[in-house]
Amino acid sequence: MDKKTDKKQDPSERVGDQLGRDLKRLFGSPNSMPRALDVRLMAQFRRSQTRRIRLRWARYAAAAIVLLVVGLSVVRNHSSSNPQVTAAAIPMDINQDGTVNILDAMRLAQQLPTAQGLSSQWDFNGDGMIDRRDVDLVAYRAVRLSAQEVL
Amino acid sequence: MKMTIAFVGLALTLLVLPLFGQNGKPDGEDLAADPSVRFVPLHITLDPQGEALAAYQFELKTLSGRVKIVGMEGGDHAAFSAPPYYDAEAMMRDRVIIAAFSTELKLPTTSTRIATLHLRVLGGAEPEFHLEIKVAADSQSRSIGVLIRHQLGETK
Repeated sequence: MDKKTDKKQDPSERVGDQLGRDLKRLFGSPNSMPRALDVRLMAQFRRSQTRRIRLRWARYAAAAIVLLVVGLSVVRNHSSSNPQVTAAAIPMDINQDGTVNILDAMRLAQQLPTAQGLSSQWDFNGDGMIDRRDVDLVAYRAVRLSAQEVL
Repeated sequence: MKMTIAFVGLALTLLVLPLFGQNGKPDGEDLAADPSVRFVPLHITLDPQGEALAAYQFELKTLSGRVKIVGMEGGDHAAFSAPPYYDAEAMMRDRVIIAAFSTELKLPTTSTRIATLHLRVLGGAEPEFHLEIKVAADSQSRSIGVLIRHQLGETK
């Protein structure tokens, strides 16, 4: 029975008889450690582990808060800047009202005489200029029916 | 062997398909000669009720009748004399969005014809339409209250 148990044991954990005796003589029996000390050490270890985990989470939380603050300030700066020089979030939504309609085309057309301040993202046909052809593209987008809408 | 049969079948199908197309009524000149086909203009009038109209967008839907939009022209006022924007593909269906804007200083403030749609109507039944205004605004993009009407013109 002992032999079977010995076979199942990890070979690296096997200790020769002589070495075992020497270790016992040096450090005493493993059972000789008082249980109270064992419990106290375990509790101490757990406390230190918990503190370490809490510290780690605190660091993550601080990093997340910093990122959130930076992100919010960037978004606030973006939305408060001049709409004439800022590209719309939705392509062709020039007036940034969340939809593309004829008012976007009119807004762009009204700004053509002062085209220097216009965002290059409004060059919808990619010819390097923002002109009437870009206005037409916005207008045609406004009247286009999607595939689902066409009966 | 199977590949050959499939190829021959495909070739025959391609040869026979145009013959079926000729049996149906194509959209071309032949329809113009059909007595059941007539061409009717549909005038769209918009009343900005005292406000200066700078932009409009409306949706027209055919409720009944076999209608196809075959052309579009601008309105009476100089600010909207150019043909409005529309989706040429949608014109082949029974629903279309029509829109225009003007950057002119002189804008219409009273009832004016803003566009005329040229329709091809099949059959004797009078077609019915539904118009829904989506956008009506002044030059500052402020929404204004408008009345939109439509009227069928003289049949050609």
